[in-house]
Amino acid sequence: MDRCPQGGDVAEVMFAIRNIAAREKNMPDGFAAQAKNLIETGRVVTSTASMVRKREQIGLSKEHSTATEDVQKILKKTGFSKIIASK
Amino acid sequence: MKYGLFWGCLIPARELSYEVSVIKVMPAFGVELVKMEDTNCCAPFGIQSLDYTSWLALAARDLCIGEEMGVDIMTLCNDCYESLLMVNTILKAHPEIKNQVNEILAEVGKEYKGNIDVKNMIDVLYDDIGVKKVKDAVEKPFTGLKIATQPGCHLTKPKRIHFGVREFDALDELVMATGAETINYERREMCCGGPLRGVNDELARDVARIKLVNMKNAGAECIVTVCPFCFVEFDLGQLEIRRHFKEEYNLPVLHFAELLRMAMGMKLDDWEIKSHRTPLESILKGRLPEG
Repeated sequence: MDRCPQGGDVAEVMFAIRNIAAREKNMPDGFAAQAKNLIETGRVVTSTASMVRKREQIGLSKEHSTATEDVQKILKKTGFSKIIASK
Repeated sequence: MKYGLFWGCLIPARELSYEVSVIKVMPAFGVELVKMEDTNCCAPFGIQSLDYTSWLALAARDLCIGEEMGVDIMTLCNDCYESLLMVNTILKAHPEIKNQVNEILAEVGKEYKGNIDVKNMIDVLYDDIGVKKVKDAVEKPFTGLKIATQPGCHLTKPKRIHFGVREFDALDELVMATGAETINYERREMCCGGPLRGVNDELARDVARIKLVNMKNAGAECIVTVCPFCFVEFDLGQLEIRRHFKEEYNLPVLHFAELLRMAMGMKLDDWEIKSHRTPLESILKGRLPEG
């Protein structure tokens, strides 16, 4: 929409194309890795053990929430796991 | 002023100095940051790229937590901001999509109502607190320090929900409130290359290099970012660029919260200084921790 003279949302079109590609098992390895992490841990980026120790050392909470169970329920409902399954 | 603070994944996992700086800085402006319990990943653009509906539902769950707490949400990470703000905007505008998402959220006992807003820390400092109050809180200005700002794409785009280039000006004005100068550099609105990581790492590196060349050519002595991805691209990225291109830029990279913290008279601890992969010493004269 920022660039299209007809007011079309170019970014949204790109996301739609990527979604179609993902359903055809065509996705970058990096995104597949993020997805796998999300399904398994509830987060795209997780803390390392040393970072968790550092957090405790400097008085921060051990780590923030992940709501893994709810994330997994949502992703099961949306069929996300099937998109990622064979990647 | 009270906000539910949405930390996201990356800052608590990798950028603890950003987290500590926010905790130290925001209360000084009368901003109460309430911990949001049981939040999930915001489902940033990588997930949005794979499945739109999953993105909507996951971000909406976090919005529900804000609604249950009765607070607007403040994000730090630009990806979290983009996710939560965009989904909030979409669901408020499209009842049919909201209904679809609520059917999914019913699986986890949540219901999105659409009665809170999402802001970024820069929005809160600029709109709610004001540049003058930020300036009044400065005790140790960064006078003369030439800073290249990198607000990051997701703080400012899409423009239909971000009111044009306001956030570019907002970050620059806030940086200037710390006493520093902001420099105008070529292709200032360009992405840092971060979203390309995991897709095309070489291209991501090359994009970051273009930004660094332009910043350096314009006379920058330091880079200030808001987004943790931009931070990594420039901080760790300079090491990668040195290895590959044999080029040195020596541009220290700070989170805006760190810059403000130091301008308010506080110091970064040793471990925080060491957590920056591009050394900070050139800009820390008189601001090093004792001992």
